[in-house]
This record gives sequence, structure tokens and C-alpha cells, in this order.
Amino acid sequence: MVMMVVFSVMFLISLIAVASNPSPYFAALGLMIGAGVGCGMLTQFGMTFLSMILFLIYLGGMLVVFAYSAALAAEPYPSAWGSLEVFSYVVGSLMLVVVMWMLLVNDFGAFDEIEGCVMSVRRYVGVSEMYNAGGYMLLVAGWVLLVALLVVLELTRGFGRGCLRAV
Amino acid sequence: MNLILTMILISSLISITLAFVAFWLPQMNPDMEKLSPYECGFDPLGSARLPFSMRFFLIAILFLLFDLEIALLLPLPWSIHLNPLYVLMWAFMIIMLLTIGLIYEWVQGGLEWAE
Amino acid sequence: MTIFTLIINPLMYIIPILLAMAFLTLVERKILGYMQLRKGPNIVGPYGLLQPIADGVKLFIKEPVKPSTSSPTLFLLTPILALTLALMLWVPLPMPFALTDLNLTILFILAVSSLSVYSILGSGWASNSKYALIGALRAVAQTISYEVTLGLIVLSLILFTGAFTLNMFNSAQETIWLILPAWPMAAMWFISTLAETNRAPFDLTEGESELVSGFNVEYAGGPFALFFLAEYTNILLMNALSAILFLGPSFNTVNINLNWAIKTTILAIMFLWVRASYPRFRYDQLMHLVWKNFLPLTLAMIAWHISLPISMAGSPPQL
Repeated sequence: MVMMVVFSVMFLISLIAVASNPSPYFAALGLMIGAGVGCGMLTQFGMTFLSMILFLIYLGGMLVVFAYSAALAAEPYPSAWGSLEVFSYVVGSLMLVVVMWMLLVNDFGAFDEIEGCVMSVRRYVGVSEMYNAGGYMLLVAGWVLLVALLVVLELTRGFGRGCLRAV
Repeated sequence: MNLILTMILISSLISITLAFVAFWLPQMNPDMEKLSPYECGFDPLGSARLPFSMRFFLIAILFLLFDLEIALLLPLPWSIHLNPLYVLMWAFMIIMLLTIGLIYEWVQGGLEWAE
Repeated sequence: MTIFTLIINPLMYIIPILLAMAFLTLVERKILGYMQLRKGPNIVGPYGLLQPIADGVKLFIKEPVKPSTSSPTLFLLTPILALTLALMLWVPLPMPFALTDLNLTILFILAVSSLSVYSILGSGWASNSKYALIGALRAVAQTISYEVTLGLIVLSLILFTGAFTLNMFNSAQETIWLILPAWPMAAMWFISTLAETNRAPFDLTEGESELVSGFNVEYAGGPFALFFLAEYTNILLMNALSAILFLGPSFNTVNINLNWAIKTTILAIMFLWVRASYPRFRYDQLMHLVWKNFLPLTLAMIAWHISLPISMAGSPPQL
């Protein structure tokens, strides 16, 4: 319960950090914290495999690529949360959060976690069904990956080849 | 509070303490030359945020695709106990799709670094 | 009692790790010295044993530089993040009296180690210097490329042992070390760990002639020491992990720590030996090695590791 509240507050903070329009690089930092805390929340609910996969893929894969591309792209004057424009966004979204809290939230029922987080074998059977009954879903996922690769290759065709000297 | 959380707290506390010590212990007398970006003794030329490199971007995308493929393959140790025929078929299909992608990228020269 | 389990235990775990890492630096300098027919550090203390401490004190009383053009917060945050992650990686390692016993140990290790990319990328970007940024980009491209093969290799080993816990590797290797049935994986794993920890001959990030010191060129004194600590802690962790995965130290006897420590030390010394023996790769060779050699090989090997337990009707116990 305590951890859930802490995680939720951190999640909210990171969302505000992203929503307040800083430079992409700092937004990636906010997203990173948000994703990590979100995985922590999932773990508190006892969904360890899901949270680990999410951590591995979203935080270790997608956000890395995003931060990497943000670092590749040139931006001479990045603005963090200290700058006036971004900070006004922070204040605005904080006020929005407070108003929404006043209007909508009246109890903490959503924060109940599963007692003890006992991890049993049954928890993984659902995932393993992906290779049995959910095979078509798997096929679609693999197909999407292939198509994504082809699309990226076609889009980048002819750009920036040969950045190293000839051997 | 469980042990992993306390371990996160303790290890980050240790690192923060070390960083704090590193700024508190030594004498600091910064000057203009010392604080300028390292560029072989010259004043920095141009912006340090360099233009986009497609080569490195392609590597990142390729990494992302194969990382996702690993995620698809991760339930295998459990699902191997289900219907083996199906498991083999689906797993091989995924691997083959990704191999086709790799071959295509290879043929198209996406993996060539020097020409 | 909770203060013991929650605070004293982790501390008693972290301090020996840091000590071991400190002496790893001494061992490295000694071994490199003797391989080049010189003595290495031998002035500070008997046989130079106090050299790491002297180094640490030197680093922490040197003036740290905060470049005027850098993003100050991120610049300081990334070394802290690097060391924190390096220490976090040790949490789920199995021992007779383990700190934690996770069900998904290997996923945890993969997930946390994939985060260390952020510290490299962040430091390079925050320094706002050309050398640092280019070094960081090269380091990240290298690390993420080798992460793919590391993941695939580990997954195919898991298909032999049956679960994501490192304890299962112990029971799976009771009769034979996995290095024998899976030796191609072992070779690729060892080389990939070399590349993942940015060690020679894969230390392109700190290629002295072109990028001076890579992503940490702007760091000096204490913050640099944090990166240094993180790097060597990661080297020790990777070797401890390879020892568990391939060399089968048994966890149910009392002398497990000795057994495991000896294997880890041998692997770490092999890291140093490799550093003393081989010249640095070129960047295109590095990328060709992983994308054109290791990746097709691991893809084929994973197909083999899926079909072998099924065809032999020898799928491992479900946990």
C-alpha cells in the first residue's frame, strides 16, 4: 500500500515531466523514470513476468532507441525543466492534476495490492499459451516486426551510406 | 519494503555520497580554460550536437527489432511443455521471419560499414 | 531484526564487492606489467597492495571539472546512475545464503544491465563535447548490438535448464558443465561479455587516438572514479555470471563460494590476458562480428536448442 502510493506519485511526476514539453532528451529521461516506476507497480500487483518483459523491452529497448535518436539529432539549446516556458507547463499540469484529484478521487481503493505476491507456476501458463492457442497472434507479431524492418530499410535507402573510409 | 527496494536505496545512497565527497573534499579553483569543452587545446569549433548519422540510427532500429524478437521467444522455456509440435512450428516461424529480415538487410547493404 | 536484513545485509554485500573491484584494478596492472616484462605497481605497500587505496584517494581529492557548457544535473546524475546499476546487478546472484531469491533472476539481470546504456548516453550527451558525444554513440551502438546476442545465448541455455532462475543452472549442471554441450555458445558469450563491458579488444569507445577517452572525456576526479568503479564492478559481475552459466559451481555445499570465486577469478584473469594479447578491433570489424557472425549463429543455435529437448523427449523440469 505505501509502496503503491509512492510509486503512483512518482509515476505522476514523471508524466508531468514528459507532458511539460522539455527537449526530447529530457522527455526521454522522464519517460524512463515513468516506465521504471510503472514496472514497479506491476510487480506490486504480482505480475512479475509482465513487468520484467516491459522493463526489458520498453526501457531497455524502445526508450534506448528514442534517447539514442534524440542524441543523434542536433539541438543546440536544449531546454530542461528549469527554463521558464517548460516550467509554466509544469505548473499548469500540476494544477490540472490537483483539480482532477479534487473532483474525481475520493478513496484509495485502487491501491490495494495482492497480499504476499506469491509467485506460482500457474502464473506463467498464460504466457506459455502464446505458443499453443495464441500462435496466430505470435505470427502476426513476427510479421509486424518483419514489415517494420522492411519499411525502415526502404525509408532510409540512399541516405548517408559510407560514413567510414573504404577498406 | 522489500530487499530489492532497500538495495536500490542503499546503492544509490552510496553513489550519491561518493559524488558528494568528490565535490566536497578537493580544492576547487575553476577557470575559463579548464571548464571549456575538451577540443585539443583549441576553442570549441561549431556545435557539439552533431548532425544525424543514418548508419547508427539503422543499427538502433535493428537492435530494437531483435530485442522484440527475444521478448517473443522468452516464454519458450515454459511453453515447451505444451503441445511440442505447435511450439516447434510457431517458434521456427518467428525465427525464420526474423532471419528473412536479417538476410534482406544484409543483401541491401544495411550492415556494411565501409565501402 | 529488520534493520539487519534490510540495511546491514546489503551493506555487508556491497562492501566486499567494492573491495574486490579495487583489487581487480591492482591485479590488472600487475598482470599487464608482468606480461610486458615490467613489475607493475610495487611501491605503495608490500607488493603494491595498497595501490588501489592510494588511487582511490588520489581520484577523490583531485578537482572535479564541471564544463561550463554541460547540462549540470544530467552530467552529475549519470555517474551516480552507473554505479547504482552496477551494484544493483549483484542483488539476485545465488549463494548458499543469498540476499534475494528471485524467480526471474536472468530477466532481472538482463533488464538492469540494459539500463547501463542510459548512463553512457547521458554522460556523453550532457558533456556537450564532440568527443564525448561521438564516443557515447559508438559505445551505445556497440553495447546494444551485443545485447541482442547475449539475450539469445542466455535464452538458449535456459531452454536446456528450464527456468529463469540461476539456481536451476546449478541443478542442471550436476552431471556436466554446460560449457561442454554448449561450447559455441560459451565462446560467443565470453566474447560478447568482453564487448558488453567495453574491454579490450573491444574498447573502441576509449580509442585513444581518435576519441581521446570516449564518453567520459569531460569527467575528472570523483565523477570519473564513479564510472571507473562501475566499469570494473560490471567486469566482475559478468565473469561471476559466466561462471554460473557455464562452469557449474554447485550451490548446495559450503565451499561454493571458494569454488565460484576461483572460477570467477580465472575468467577475470582471462579478460586481462586478452587485453594484454590482442590489438583493438576496427569499428566495422566489430559490427561485422556481431551482426554477420554472431547473430546468424545464435539464431541457428536457438532453433537447435528448441528442437533438441523436444526431439530427445528430454525437456527440463518446469519451475
